[in-house]
Amino acid sequence: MPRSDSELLDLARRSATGDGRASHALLLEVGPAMLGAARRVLARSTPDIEDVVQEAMEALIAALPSFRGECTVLHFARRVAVLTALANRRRLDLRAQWTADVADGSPPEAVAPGPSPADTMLLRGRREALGRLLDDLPTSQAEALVLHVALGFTVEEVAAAVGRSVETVRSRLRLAKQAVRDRIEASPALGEILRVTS
Amino acid sequence: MRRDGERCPDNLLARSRRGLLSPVERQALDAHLDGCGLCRSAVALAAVYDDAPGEPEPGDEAVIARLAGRVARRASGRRLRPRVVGSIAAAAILIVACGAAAWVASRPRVSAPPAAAPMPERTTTLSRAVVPVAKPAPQTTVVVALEPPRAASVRSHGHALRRGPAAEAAALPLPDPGPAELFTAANAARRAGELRGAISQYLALERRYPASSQAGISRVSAGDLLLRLDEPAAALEQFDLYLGAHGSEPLAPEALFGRARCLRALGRSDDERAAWNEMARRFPGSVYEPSGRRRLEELGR
Repeated sequence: MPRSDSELLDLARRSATGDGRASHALLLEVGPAMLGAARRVLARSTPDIEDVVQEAMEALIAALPSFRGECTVLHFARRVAVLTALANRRRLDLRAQWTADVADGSPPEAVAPGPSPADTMLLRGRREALGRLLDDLPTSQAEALVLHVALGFTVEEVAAAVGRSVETVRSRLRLAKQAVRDRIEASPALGEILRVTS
Repeated sequence: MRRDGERCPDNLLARSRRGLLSPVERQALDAHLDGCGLCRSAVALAAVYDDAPGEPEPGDEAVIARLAGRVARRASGRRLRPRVVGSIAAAAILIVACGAAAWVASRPRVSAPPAAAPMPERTTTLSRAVVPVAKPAPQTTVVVALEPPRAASVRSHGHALRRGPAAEAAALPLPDPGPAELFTAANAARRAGELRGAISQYLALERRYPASSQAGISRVSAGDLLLRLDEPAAALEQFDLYLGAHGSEPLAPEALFGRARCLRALGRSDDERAAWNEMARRFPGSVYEPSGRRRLEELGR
C-alpha cells in the first residue's frame, strides 16, 4: 500500500539527516513517479532513462535538507525529475543524433508495436518538433508548462512545488503558451501538427 | 473582448489531464478551447505527452529498486561524486532559486554521512548485462546483492579496474567482436550500473578500433564514467582524446564540459577557467553555459 503524505514527509526528513534506510525507502516510494515524469519530459523511451532517473534521485536526496514541506514530497520529487530531465533533453538529443548511424543493437527509441511506419514517423516528428519547443523556453517556464500540461498539476500545485505565487505561475504558463503558439504559427510544419492534434 | 491568455481555466486543463472532468466541465473546457489559441497550443503540446510512455512498464520495479539502492548507498556512505554535482547543477540551482537556500551551488555534499548506515540486506534481479556477441543472449538473470563489486582488479590505461559481472562476461573467450558489438556490450554494462566493466570495454574498443566512429563516443562515455568514479586525471585523458580528434563534432560540448569538471576536481583553476571560457565562446547557449557562467563567477573570471 502506498505511504501517506505524512509518512513520506517523515522519510524525507530522516533522509535529510543522512539516514540511508530512510533514503532507500523514500526512493522506492517516489521512484515510479520520478521515472514516469522523466519519461514524459523526454517524450520517448531511451536507454539513458536510467541515467536521468539516477541523477534525479541524487538531486532529490541532495535537496531534501532544504525541503520545507511547501508541497507534498511526491510533488517535490516529480519536480526534481522534471528539472533533471529538462536539463538532459538536449544532451540526449545530441547523443541520439551522433549515434543514430551506429549499429548499437538497441534502437535509440523503442517503438511500440502496432502503428504503421508512417504513423510512427508522424508520432516521432510530433514529439521531436514540439519537444524541441521546450528547449527554447526559459527553464522556469518549461518547468511550469510540463508540470501543468504533461503531469496535470493544478496551478496551485505548481506554485507550491516551485515555491512561487499562484500569479507568478499563471504568468509563466501564459508566457510559455504564447511562445509555443507563436512557434506553431510561424512554422507551417508545426501548424500542420497543430491541426493534426487539435 | 477577451484576449488569449486572459482568464484561462487552467485547472480545467490540469483536471482533464488527470481524467477528472465532469461532463459540464468538459463542455466548458471545449468552449474555451474554441476561442483560445493559447490553450489550443497547450493541448497540442499535451498530445505529445500522451504519446510519450509515462505509464509504468514491465521491469520498472527492478529498475527503481536498483537505482534506489545505489543512490541511497551513496548518499548515506559517501559524498556526492563530482559528476553528479555537474550534471544536476541546473536542477539544483533552480531549486535554490526557489527558496531551497541550503543547496551549496559549488560542490554540494550530502550532510555528514552517518557512520556506516547499513542498507537493508536486499537482493534484486536484473537482466544479464552483457549480450554475448556470437550467440543469442540466454534468458538468465543474475542475482546481484546491493553491494559494490569486490572482484579482482585488472589494469587498463594505468587505472585499476575492478571487475563486475559484465567485465567477467566480457573476458570470456568469444569470437573477436567488432566495434559495434563492443560498443553494445559497454553500453549494456553502463546501463546495468557496472561502471568499471563499462569503462574497461570502452577502453578496449578505443584500443582495438581507434578509427571507428564508436571509439569517439566511447572516449566521452568513458570519461564521464571515470569522472563519476572520482578519477579525474583518467577522465581528462579521455575527454582530451575526443577533443583532439573530434573537436568540432556533436559531442564536443559534452567533452568540453567534462574537461572543465575534471580540471576543477584536479584543482587546476587556471585551466578550468580557460575551459569554461572556451565553452562560452564555442557553444554559446548550450545547456552547460549556466554552469560555466556560475563557475566563472566563483573563479573570479
